Order: sequence, then C-alpha cells, then structure tokens
Amino acid sequence: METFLKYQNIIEKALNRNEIHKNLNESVRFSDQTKAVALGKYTMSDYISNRSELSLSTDLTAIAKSMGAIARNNQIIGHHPDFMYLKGTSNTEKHYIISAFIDIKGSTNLFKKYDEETNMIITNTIQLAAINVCQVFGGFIQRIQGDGLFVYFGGKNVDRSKATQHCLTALSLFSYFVKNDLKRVFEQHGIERIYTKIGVDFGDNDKVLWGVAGKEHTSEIATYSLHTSLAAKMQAYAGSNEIIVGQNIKDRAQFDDKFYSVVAEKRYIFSDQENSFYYTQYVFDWIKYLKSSPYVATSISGDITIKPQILNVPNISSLRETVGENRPYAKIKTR
Amino acid sequence: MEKIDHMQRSKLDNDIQEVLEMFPKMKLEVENKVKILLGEVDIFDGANTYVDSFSIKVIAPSRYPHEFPRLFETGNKFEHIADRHISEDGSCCVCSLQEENLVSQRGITIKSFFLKYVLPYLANQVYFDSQGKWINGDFEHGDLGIFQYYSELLKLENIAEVIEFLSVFNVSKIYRNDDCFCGSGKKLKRCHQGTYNIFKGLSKKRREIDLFELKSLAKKISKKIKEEQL
Repeated sequence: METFLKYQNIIEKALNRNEIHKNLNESVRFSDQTKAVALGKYTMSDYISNRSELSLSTDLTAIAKSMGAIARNNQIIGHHPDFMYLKGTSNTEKHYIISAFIDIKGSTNLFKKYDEETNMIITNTIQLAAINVCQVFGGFIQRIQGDGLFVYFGGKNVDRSKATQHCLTALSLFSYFVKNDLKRVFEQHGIERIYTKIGVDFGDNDKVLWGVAGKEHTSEIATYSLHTSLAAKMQAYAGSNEIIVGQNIKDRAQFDDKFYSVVAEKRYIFSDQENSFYYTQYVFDWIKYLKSSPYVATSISGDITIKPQILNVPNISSLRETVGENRPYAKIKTR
Repeated sequence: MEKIDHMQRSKLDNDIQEVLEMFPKMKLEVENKVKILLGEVDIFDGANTYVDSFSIKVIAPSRYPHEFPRLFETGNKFEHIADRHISEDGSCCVCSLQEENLVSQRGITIKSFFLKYVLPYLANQVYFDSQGKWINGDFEHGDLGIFQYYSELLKLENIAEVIEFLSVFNVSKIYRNDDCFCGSGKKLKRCHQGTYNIFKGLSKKRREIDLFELKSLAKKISKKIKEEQL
C-alpha cells in the first residue's frame, strides 16, 4: 500500500545495507548486495534526515478528515490535552475513552542479523507509522511501551461512535501495513513472523475515571477503568495480526456484524460471575472492513490501496493490459 | 430435470460467492428468483495501480452458465448512449453478439464474466474518456455491427458476399479435405479451417438471425442508394 511506502523504504534501506552476515542472506540478489555495500551502512544520521520526510499520504489525511477525524499533533505523551487541567491536582473526572493497545511482535528476530542501531531505526520507523496513522485519525499516544503503543481515541467534544470508527480504521490500516508490506520486506531478508497484536475497548462516561498517576514530574494523566484494563488483556490474548475488541466497541462502531466473530476458544476473557457481568469479546475482521470501505480499492489479487482524492491520469500502456481484447458493441437498431 | 436445475442453482451460488469474495463491495440481491449482484468494482491497470471505480449491477441469467449475464453501469460515470456502447435497454454491450453466442455455448461463469468482460469493458471506458477512442476499436451499432463481425471474420467487404456465405453454409457443410470456400484451391484444413470453425461454432439460431438482419440491412442500403441516385 502506497500510504506507508516512505516508512517501508527506510526499513528496506536499513535491512539491505546493515545486515551483519550478508552470506547468510540468500534472498538478496548479488547485484543488490553489491549496490548495498557500495552505499555503505544506513546510519542513524541517515535515518534522522530521512525521518523528517515521514508523513502520511495526503489521501489518507483527506479520508480521515472526511470521516470527521481531527488530527492530534504535537502531543505530550501521557498528557491527554482534554484532561490536562487535572495535572498537578488530585481532581478526577469521569469521561468516556477508547483504549487501544498495539504490540508489534517478532522484532526480537532482528537482533539475529542486525546491530542495536539498526534495530532502533527499524523499530522507530514502525512505531512512527503507528503513531502517525493513529494521530491522523484523532488518536492520542498515551505511552510507548517496548515495541508497542498505548493509544486513546476520543475525548471532549468527539462523538463516541465516530471516535470508535476512527480508531478501528487507523488500527486496520496499520495492521495491513505490518501484515502485508512489512512482512514481505522482512521475509525477503529472512526475518519471519513479524506481526501485530491489538486489543481495544470502549469505556463509557460512567466507567472511566481520569486522574493523575504518579507524582510531580513522575506522573501521567491516566484512566482507571475496567475497559482500559480489558483492552490490555485483549491485546495479550490476540493472535497474530488480530484486533480483539470488546462488546462496547462493536456496539459503538455501528459497523456491519459481518466484521465480527466471537472470540472462539474463550467467549469471555473477562467475566464477573458474582455480579453476573459477562463481557463478550470479538475478533474484528479488519481486512474485510477495509475492503468494504468506500475509501479503499481492492485489486483482484486482494491488494488494497487508498483511493486518491484526485484520480491519476491513467497510464495508457498499463491500462491496455486490463482492457485486453475488449471490443464493445451496441445492440441498437440504427436505422 | 429438477436435479439439473438444483445443480445449476448451487453452481451459480458457489460462483456468486467466489465473486463476492473477489469484489468485496458487491452484494447479492434476489428479485423474483433472479440473482442480481449490485455494488462497486475497482479498476486497476496492469501495473496494479488503481484507476477508478464503477457502480454496477450484474444480472445472472436463467440458463446459467450457458447464457451471458447482463451488465449495467449504475453510477452514470459515462453517458449512456450507443456511442459509449450502452444498449437501448441500458445494458452494457461488452462484446459482439457473436462472441457472446460462442462463449455462452461453452459456458461462462459469473467470475469469468467479471474478469473477461466487466473489468475490461469498464477499463476501456476509462481509456475512451482519456483518448477518445477504444483500445481495440469497436463494433458498429446494431445490424451494421453484425455485418462488421462477418466482414472481418470472412474478410469480405461486400454485404452481398457475406449474405451468400451465410445462406450457403447455414444449411450445408464442408469438410476438412474439401476445397476451401475462399476459392484459393487449397483444402479447407490448409486454408480457412479456423474461420470456418468459428462460424460453425455459432449457434444455428444466431446464424439465422444474423442472416435475416443482414438481408434486411442490404435492402435498406440499396433503398438508400436508389434514393440518393434520384
């Protein structure tokens, strides 16, 4: 998908040029190796200069906007702007929020062939892709943890259903990037099993308490909610490239039921039998969702692309391949 | 007979399912037992670059798979006129009537229809918008298109010769070792066997209708010539 191409390019540069044992890498063609060696190591300073180019495609930004998302940029981690006033106080407030835990698994495999600097470049780039796509869809990065992220969606004056839709869209796009584009690039370098595990839940206005965790400078504005905790649990439970969502997410997103299937083995990741509280979790079929989106086009090979805001001028020779031998006629009496 | 109908139905259902998976924005609707696929298809070029999307409706035929499905462009992305190859009933004329006949006799699945006719036809519309012409040319409308098909197939420019060919070979056969119909003196198998096979591959009904249309076209042409002479 073109949307993440710049991120993919950086990762490819690092993978191509920084491999410690080139002779173990059978998938890189000799000419590529020679070229990579000639270019020298892809260093942190190369990365820093390239990183400034990293942004998301204007098409994606436009789609987020047309879905009603307001991008959140220049954030201070752990300090959600809508609840900043709580900082330095012991006050609390109840307000809904969507909690999403994103983990990228399998990056440990990178250490087998790459040094720490390369690891940092690659991990950072993947995280930046996740951060940027979440922010474009109104997500707030609460915390960066290990290879993963903890993101809030929604806030003051943000419609709950819309925020849920934005959250699922951002996470679906990121999952597609990892499962398809990134996986392909990694596999070309003999690194297998890079995947996401995502858990998301929605806690309503009466179920989420906002307040300050920690003290003074060692603090963040946090949520105390069963649903934030459940989102973390769901993330831990998720299989490769799965997004697990709570019942509240399903109810709020108002998407077609065909995108959800009840978590198979264990219907309730959480239940409180004493209080008869049973909370169903679902696997969200994000690829089916993306392919159904009016903003996404799907090729017959199943690859997806974000529809551009302005159609490209068709490449005539490439279009010719799709037209093949087509020669139309009209069943009309002309005289 | 019922068993055959049931088998055809289940084949159609399976084939539709395959299309719905390949084209995720298409949906199935059933109206008076007729299965209709509605929704949007995305056009990609040979380099897998997205080109455009079209809203369409495809009606599964009753004699599936031995009848052509019908395609309708429902988004009005291009003008619905004969010059854009839209028929009087609003359906898209994706190919000549004769090709439709040949393909239907062999059988055509919904998936093949999408891949071989729907996407190429719509991509050709994009090409026309950009270039003002059709990639492989097109067929004239109505009876003129029928004449054009046979004229190109038989390499005959004169309508009277085409009518004569159809009149003769609609009712009689020639064999591989007979002299070729073109008058070259060669055996058919060493000359126009391929052309003859295509011609004989058309259903008898199709050939008879075409002969009738061509005769009526010839009359219209000679009448027009006479009028012009006067």
